[in-house]
Amino acid sequence: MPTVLVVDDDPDIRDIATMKLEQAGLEVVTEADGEGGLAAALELVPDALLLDWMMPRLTGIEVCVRLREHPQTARLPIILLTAKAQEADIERGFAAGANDYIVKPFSPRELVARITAALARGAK
Amino acid sequence: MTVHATRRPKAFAADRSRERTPCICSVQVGASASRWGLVMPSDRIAGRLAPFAMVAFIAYVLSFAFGTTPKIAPLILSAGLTVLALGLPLCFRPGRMPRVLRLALPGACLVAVALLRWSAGGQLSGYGPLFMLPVLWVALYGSSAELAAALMVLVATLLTSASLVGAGAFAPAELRRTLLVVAVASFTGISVHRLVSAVRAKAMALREQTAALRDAERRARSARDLFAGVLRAATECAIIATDPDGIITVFNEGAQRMLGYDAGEMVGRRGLAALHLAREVAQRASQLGLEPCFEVFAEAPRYGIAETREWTYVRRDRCHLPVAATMTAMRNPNDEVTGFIVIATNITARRMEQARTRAIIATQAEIASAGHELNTVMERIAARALSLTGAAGATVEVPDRDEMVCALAAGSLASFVGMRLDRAGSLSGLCLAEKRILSSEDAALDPRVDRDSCHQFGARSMVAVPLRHKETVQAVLKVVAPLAHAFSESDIETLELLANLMGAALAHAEDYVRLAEANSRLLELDRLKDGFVATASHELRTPMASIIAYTEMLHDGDGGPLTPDQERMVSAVGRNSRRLLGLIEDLLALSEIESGALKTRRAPTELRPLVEAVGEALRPTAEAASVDLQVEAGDDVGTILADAAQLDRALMNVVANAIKFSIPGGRVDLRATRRGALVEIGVTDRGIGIAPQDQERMFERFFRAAGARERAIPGTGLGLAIVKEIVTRHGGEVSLESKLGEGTRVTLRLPAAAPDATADQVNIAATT
Repeated sequence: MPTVLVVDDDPDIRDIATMKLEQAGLEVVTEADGEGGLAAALELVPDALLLDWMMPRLTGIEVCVRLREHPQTARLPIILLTAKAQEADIERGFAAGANDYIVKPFSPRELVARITAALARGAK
Repeated sequence: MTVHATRRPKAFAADRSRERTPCICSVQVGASASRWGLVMPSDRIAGRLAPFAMVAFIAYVLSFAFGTTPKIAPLILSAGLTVLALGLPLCFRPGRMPRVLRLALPGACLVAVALLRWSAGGQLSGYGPLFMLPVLWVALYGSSAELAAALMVLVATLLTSASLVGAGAFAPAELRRTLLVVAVASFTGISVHRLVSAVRAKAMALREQTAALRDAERRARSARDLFAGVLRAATECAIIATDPDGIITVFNEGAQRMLGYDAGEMVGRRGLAALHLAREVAQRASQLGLEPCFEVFAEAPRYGIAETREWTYVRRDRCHLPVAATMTAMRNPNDEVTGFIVIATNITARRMEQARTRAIIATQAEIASAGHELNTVMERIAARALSLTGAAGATVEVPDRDEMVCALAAGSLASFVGMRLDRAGSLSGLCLAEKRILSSEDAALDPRVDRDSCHQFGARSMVAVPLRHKETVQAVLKVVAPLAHAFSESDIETLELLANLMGAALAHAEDYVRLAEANSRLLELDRLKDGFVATASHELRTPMASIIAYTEMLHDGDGGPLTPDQERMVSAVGRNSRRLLGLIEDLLALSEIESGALKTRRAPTELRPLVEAVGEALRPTAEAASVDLQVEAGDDVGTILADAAQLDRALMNVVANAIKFSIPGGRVDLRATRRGALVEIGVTDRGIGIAPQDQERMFERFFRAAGARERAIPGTGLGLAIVKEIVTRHGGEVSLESKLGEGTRVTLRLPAAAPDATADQVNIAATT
């Protein structure tokens, strides 16, 4: 069963993501901050990573960049999920190495669809 | 005899009337001395007559002595005539004797002689010589015409007397004697006359020549006097003349004063080079390619070039004196150089002025380079004030209630920084009050200042200058010197200049500080502004994300099946939260635009896909509203230079509006066409339309048409304002046509991209 790591300091998002992704038949692991997320990603090497941006101390962008430096997570599908909606932000997100970018507020259904697609792409 | 003048060159011809130099005028003395006429030499009538009188007397005596007893009557008549003839001229002033009488006199004399002869018996022999006398007299003093007349009278008299006497005028012997007398008389008379005329003419010529020479001499003397006067009067100018070899011939008083030499030491003894600095002469010589010698100075003037150069003269006391000297050549009428003349003026003052100006310019440069460190600037200016005016000390004082506080001090007053003086007794206090320059030439005698404190500061003469900027006087620059009358007008001017510089520097420093503060405040605000939109955006979106997500999940039954009522409620929550999100996005968008944080980055964008994407994105919305959305973009629509996201948003706003304001079953057309250099995007709906009075206000922020409000159609009134802003940034325009109840058409016109167009970024600060 593919594993998705969800990293977000907002408990609502963790809850929503967990519910919907498990509903879609995926295993979900959650982390509440950047450092935890980074460590978990490197250890677990999940099949996909849902990453928030604005988190205290270590931001999602920094996590993304660091993960890309490690060989085991260099090709990890990373989806940025964030309320930072400016075009410049989107550019920055992709530049940091994200594969996809979802702007909050989002449709949970759309979220599941994107993650599923990313998993499918990654599996090939 | 003719004497010609030597004429001066033509240049001087016009000046002849005012000529002072000697000039011998042309005089032509003719052979005729006719203007002399029978003018008796004025004071010598008696002298001239004396010989004749003597002779006449002797004649009479002889006639008695050697002749027979004379006839009395003719004798007396003769004597009478003689006396008359000799005495008559004495009655007239010289030259006033009527011409007739002048001619008659010799006649009278001749007649007198004839009578004398007759009285003595008629012998001619003794009286021959006597006839000569009148003839000689006329020959000496008369004109040739008068001489001829006299000779004729002689002949007549002789013939008459001969016949009268009866001795037989035509007796051969008598006739012979008569002719002899006549001949001798004529010959003698004519010779004498000619001789006398020649002599007279010569004498006259000589006299005229002498007069002319005297005249010339007088003029020469007055010219010389004038020259000397000029030389004497030019006490401020050194006028030095030299001979062609450079030896000084004239050394005027001005030169004596300027250089300390006596004329006697220089004239005829020393050359011009003695005054010059050997170094400069050598320098100039090498410039000209000559050996250092007099020719260094003389070359240019010799060729007619009057050259003014700056030299350094060496005074008798070995001091150096900067001068500006002009040298010209003096020429004689043959155009040969007879000497040179140098006029030199002392340019020490000029040099000082130049130095002063240079110092002030340097001060300004220093101030400019010191930038904004006010203290440095002020210190430098104070230092300059000291050096340029020779003051001992300088201060800058500022007022503090009743006192003047020394904010800055230099020179002898350096230790008095921070010192306080009563405004009442201080020159600077007074200066501040009167807002003008005040100068105290002697503090000991000046009632305006407190003598004791001045003495304490070693200030005998002082100048206080207000430091002005625009209309206010904030401080006073004061300079002091230990001696009275130490500051000249020139010094005061310099101080005024420096004070103005200081005042400006002060004001600039203040301005700078103010501006720097304002600038950092503005930068801060800018930062905050930029941050606001981003922060607000993020902060508002985060809770909305939770709301919308959970609502959707509830609606999808992820939290369990919903009762119809629950479903209705959840739908309502979802609808409203989406609406709220729309409002937030609109507000944020407008805020971003208005704050100037929105950057439009344009790149060549294919219009067709963009238009079609907008259509696709809104298809669900159109379907939900039962509106038929038709999208049409021609192949020729091409590329425009656009920020795709912004253009997308603009189109979305317009099409969404069209759908929103359509009636169910209505139709919305989104059409993009190419018209020459423009691309036209039209969105047409057949909806409720807009009232005419509202149409022109549709692009205003927060404006909602009456129709929308009445029907409570949701909207913030921001959509079209955003569209207009975006379209403007793309260099295009947007317009609206509508008919109430029939529909509305919104048209965007944008410039098509040139084939070689490149991406650019449009940073426009906040509009309206």
